[in-house]
Amino acid sequence: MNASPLVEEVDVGAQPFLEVANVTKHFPVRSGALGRLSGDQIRAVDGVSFSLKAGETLGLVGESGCGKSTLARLITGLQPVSSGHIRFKGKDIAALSRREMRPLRRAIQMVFQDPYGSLNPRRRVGSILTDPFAVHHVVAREARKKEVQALMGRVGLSSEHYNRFPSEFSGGQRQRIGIARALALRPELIICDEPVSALDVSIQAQIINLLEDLQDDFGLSFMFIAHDLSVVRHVSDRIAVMYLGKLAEIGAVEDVYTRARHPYAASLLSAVPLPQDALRSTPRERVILTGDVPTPIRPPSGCRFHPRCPKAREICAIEEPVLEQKPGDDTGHLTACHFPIEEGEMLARVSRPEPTRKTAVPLGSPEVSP
Amino acid sequence: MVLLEVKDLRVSFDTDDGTVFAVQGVSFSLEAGKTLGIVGESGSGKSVATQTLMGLSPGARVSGHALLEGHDLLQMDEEELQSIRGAKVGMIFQDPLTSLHPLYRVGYQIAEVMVAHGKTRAEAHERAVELLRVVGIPEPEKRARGFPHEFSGGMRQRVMIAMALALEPALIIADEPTTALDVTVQAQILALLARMQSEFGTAIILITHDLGVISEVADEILVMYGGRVMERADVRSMFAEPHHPYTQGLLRSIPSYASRSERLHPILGYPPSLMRWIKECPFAPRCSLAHEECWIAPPPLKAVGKAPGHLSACTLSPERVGLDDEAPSDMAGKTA
Repeated sequence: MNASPLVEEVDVGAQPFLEVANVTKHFPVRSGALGRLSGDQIRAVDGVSFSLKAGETLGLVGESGCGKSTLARLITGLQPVSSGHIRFKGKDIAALSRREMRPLRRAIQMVFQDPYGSLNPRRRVGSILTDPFAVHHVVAREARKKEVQALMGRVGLSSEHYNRFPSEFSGGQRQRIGIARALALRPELIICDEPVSALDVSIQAQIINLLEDLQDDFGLSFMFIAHDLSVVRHVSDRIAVMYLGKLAEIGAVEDVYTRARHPYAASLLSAVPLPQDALRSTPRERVILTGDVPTPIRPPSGCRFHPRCPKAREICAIEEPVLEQKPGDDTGHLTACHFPIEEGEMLARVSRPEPTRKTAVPLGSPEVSP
Repeated sequence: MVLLEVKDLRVSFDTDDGTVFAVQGVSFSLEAGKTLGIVGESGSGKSVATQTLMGLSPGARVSGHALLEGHDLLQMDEEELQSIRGAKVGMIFQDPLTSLHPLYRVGYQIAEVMVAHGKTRAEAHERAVELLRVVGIPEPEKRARGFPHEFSGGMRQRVMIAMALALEPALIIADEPTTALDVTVQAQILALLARMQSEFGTAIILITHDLGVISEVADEILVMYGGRVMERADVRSMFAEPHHPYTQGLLRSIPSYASRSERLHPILGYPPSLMRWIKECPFAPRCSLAHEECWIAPPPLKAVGKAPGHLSACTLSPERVGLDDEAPSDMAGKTA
């Protein structure tokens, strides 16, 4: 072990379980038939900092292309960071050699969205699940089958499934296989990238319950990426809202869901149609954002959300807001906005009263006026 | 005025592995200017049923009737269907990238629909630009000359809607139109569909697995499972007083946005295989209330609840099915 993390340990006291400090990931843009570097860069992750406690679940939400999956890949060490530090139990992932990385790969595992694409169709389930043990030499060859069958039992598969191929399973069962594989090496942190989005509603609930049970049994930490915001709210302790490679807001899940301060977070959360809305006598306040997410190659100046923001003023285009605690917020509830939403304040909104809900929606206008 | 009336639609396919009974007797009617939502999980038959109406299920064995303004779609030959598609019924699919031709300009593709139905190329192009403007695409003259890959997912879906609207059809069938989109874009597209409906009086059949989306846009809801209709009701009754154990199970499996309950209530087990003729209630194997009667024959739809037209294919009386304290009616709470 090198000396620097030890020093820090003394300084900081109890080191965080996972610490992401000012991490960036820039991809060079290639263009033309020869794939020449154009000099431009896609700033997929552009200065993200947060920490995660052991046993905690952090939900990560944002629109496609906001960088959430890239961030996940950086934390698992599948891709190197461009700058910044990711410290797992005090060890900087970026500074480790391949050999030093091995135990970390066991400790940090990933569950993917597509249980069809992430399992080799030509191999039997038993053999797929034996791989982690074989690669890391953790269980003696003779004991592996028994271990795999115990693992299958733990995720709700029966041991008679051992000799079947992935194609013989339904989507929900395949995701159970994916979870078993992630669980095999007794990891401490599992990154779930859209783990239930390909599943039907009734099956989705089974998988979420399974993940929560496993968290209780093994004291796992989760980073949970999903576009279904109700699912994220259900599983997460804290939630981080990402926009164009940066965190817009982070905080305890109920704080952010009920008192979002960042206009983007508020719009995103209000855009979700909820079944219970059918029963409301008064319509819920909703904000409909116009336009699309800008390109991360040349993100807007100042606050990246300002071209779509109903509250944007002059300064928002000039000065980038810092992610900080705003007056009145609980500790750990941080917002990157010059003009955070105040208590009781309504954004430029589109309400949808029952009888006329099919009219009066301003669309096609380039910006929502406040 | 009833625009579309579907009676006892049955669709099956012969495959190498045997016959797939995809739709096993679906009936509904839809009035002009209204939205019918069809919810169901994969394999419930919701997409096959609507594709069959448009003659898009090649090789299928089809029976039943589907009267669009009095003319039976299921009796029409290919030529007649061709004149209906686009003109009377527009379709929007989940994935706009695969539904648009990658090598033709977007404006040309929208115009194509109108040229096929008798407009001149110049007229059609002008109208295509106008349509792009209507669906909220900025700089429509310029964008009409763009190719599909130059559009974002939300913009492509707007192009699909423009195309579906080109001939001002009386009915639009939208099959998971927002499933591939972000929630913010989804809200834009749903609002656009609603605006189009109020402007043109179009009837919409919206097929989705998302109960939130359906609650927002539908007037009436059809819940499908295993190729059959399990329950049919107006949107409020469906969410306030769901009758069928499957509908209740579906609602209880959603992580409630408002109340963060400790545990979800999944429906145990997996959906049925459609590779055999299901002679019982298709939900019986997963139903905690299943009894002898359920295994004899699939129960017919019968009136339940207070609202007229609320039908459920369950033999139990509403009292027996009664909701417990996890009922979705408790979900209406304070939200963000």
